[in-house]
Amino acid sequence: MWGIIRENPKAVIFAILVHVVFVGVLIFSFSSSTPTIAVNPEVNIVKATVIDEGKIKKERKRKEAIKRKKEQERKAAEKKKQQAKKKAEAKRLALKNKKEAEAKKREAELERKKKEETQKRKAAELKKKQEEAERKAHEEQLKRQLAEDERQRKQQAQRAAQQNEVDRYRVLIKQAISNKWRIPVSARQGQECILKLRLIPSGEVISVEVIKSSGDSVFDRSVESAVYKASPLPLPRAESNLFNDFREINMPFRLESRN
Amino acid sequence: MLKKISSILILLLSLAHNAWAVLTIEITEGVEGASPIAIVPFAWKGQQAAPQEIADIISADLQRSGLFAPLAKQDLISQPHDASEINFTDWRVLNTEHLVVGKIDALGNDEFQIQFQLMDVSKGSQIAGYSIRSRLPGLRRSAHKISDIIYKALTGTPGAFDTLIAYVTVNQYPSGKRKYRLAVADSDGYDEQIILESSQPLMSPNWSPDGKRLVYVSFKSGRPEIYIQNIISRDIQKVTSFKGLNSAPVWSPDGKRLALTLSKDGNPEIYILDLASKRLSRITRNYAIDTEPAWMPDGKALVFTSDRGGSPQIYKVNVSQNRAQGRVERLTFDGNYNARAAVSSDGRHIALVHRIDGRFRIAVLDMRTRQINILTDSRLDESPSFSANGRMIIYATEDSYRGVLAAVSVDGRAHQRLSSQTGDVREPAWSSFKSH
Repeated sequence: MWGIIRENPKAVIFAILVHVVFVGVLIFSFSSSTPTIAVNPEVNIVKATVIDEGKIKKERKRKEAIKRKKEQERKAAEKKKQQAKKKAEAKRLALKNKKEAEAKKREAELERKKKEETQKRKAAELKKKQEEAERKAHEEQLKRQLAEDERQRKQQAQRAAQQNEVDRYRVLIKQAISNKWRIPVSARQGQECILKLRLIPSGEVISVEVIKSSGDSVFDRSVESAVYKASPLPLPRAESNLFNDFREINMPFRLESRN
Repeated sequence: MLKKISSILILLLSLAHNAWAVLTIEITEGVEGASPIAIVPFAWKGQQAAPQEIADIISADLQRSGLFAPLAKQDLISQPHDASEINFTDWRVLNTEHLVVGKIDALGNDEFQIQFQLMDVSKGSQIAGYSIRSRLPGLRRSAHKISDIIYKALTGTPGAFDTLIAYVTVNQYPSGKRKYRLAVADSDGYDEQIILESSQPLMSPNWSPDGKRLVYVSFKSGRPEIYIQNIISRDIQKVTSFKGLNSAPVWSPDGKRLALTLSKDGNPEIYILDLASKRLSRITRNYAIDTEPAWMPDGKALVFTSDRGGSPQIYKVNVSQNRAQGRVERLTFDGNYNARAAVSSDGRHIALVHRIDGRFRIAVLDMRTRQINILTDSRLDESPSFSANGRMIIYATEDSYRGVLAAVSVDGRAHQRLSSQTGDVREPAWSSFKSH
């Protein structure tokens, strides 16, 4: 604080001056209003001390006037009170009406909501029913699909089993003929002769046809001979109904390696 | 969607299966081994006993090849002599694959008509049928001819039954004198004919490609010399008589040259002698011993024995008239003794003497795989020589300290002793196909 004063002496002085003027104005205004307050008690004191007849009459009249005035005032107040009461009653009625209207409104609202809910519930129920029906239909379809799949699977399994059986007998026939094929000494690696065999259900080879000759009669004869020697060929049981697969057989003979 | 596609696929596949229903079974393996064959004794229509049992000769021939297993005579179910008399079912029961039936008719004047048929038992059909006219001394040979026909028909390879073997026999007499004989016989060892007799050693006979002449080493002058002799006319011609060794002569495949071993330059070396011009060309130049040449079938290379590597091994030398001439390649690496090479007519195999555990065995070097396969198991087997078709090897072996001839198939399956000779038999040489 001191530092500020020292640094700005003009401002400080100015501030002090402003304060002094302000305080002065305040003091002046107080001293000029004081005399009016002091005059009135002196007047009252003078009146209280004056008593006379005229004055009493006057006083009575004045009192009666005051009384009337008061009565009037009372009546006015009464009236006013009545009016206020009426007003309040009207207000109360209005309020009551308003409340009743509101209640009605709420009730209607409630009713409406109730209706809506019922409708909603009904719609939901309908929807649920429809969904149920759909679900059932779907399930039904799924069942059918599964049954169909199962049927196909069975069919495939049966076919696979048949194929297995065919393959098994292919191997058996291959072995039976390999065991009987005496490879000619002159046979060369890669030499090939293709035969077509015709079988009867007993496995007997009833015909052998050279459909592609090796060009070497010794080789061709050796393979034909192998087939005849291996006849009857092993075939699946008659019940398997696979004979048609074996009725005709293409049989390439190819020498893969020569030691 | 996927399900649909797969079921469509299955449908298509099953349709396809039905459409191309012909099953295919591929056969890529078979059996190897002797094929059962029945050779029924031929019917003989003549007053006297049959001059030869043709069927026996054929059976023995086919048996010796290792490729056939002739049915024993006592196992023959019946004795048909003509295709019309055959009940094939009988022979199928016996697992016989082929059947030979035939008959011999005497035409008078020692002439005969031999008729035979080779039948496929499994098919019940004829494979070959021939009629051969023969004179009495040639009946054995006719039988070998039939063997060749059967062999060719069933194997696709020419037979080598109607061929000759030459060999040397040595007989020691109680006096201490020795008799050396150069002999020629049928491939089965029968019908031996002595071509030459000598009190001095005879060695290394080798056939001319035409099967009419033999070249051999004779010591009749006291030292080794090379001679050529015609086996029919018996004419003899001296070929070389160089200082030192004259040995191991072998005829070139074209018959125009001889490969031989001479030591005239100090050390045994391989030479080629041109028979027409008598011009000699030296093939090997090595401080080691080079001997026992054998021709490759194309006549462009020789194989020979050399100990240049420290032990006797087989080498091959190029003798063609080109830049590769004289190039030498070692062929054998198994063991420490491989010698006396003979080359099969197809050049695929080299037969040689292989020593193992102190024993000398006949072995075959496969020229493709360069593997050696030992075929025999006696103590002292020597001088292998190939049959003309390259399927058999004849060699000398020991039986009770006596040299005898034996034959083995090139695969080592069939072994056969040829036992008709007398004395100590050595150095067999198998002729090419007979052309006379």
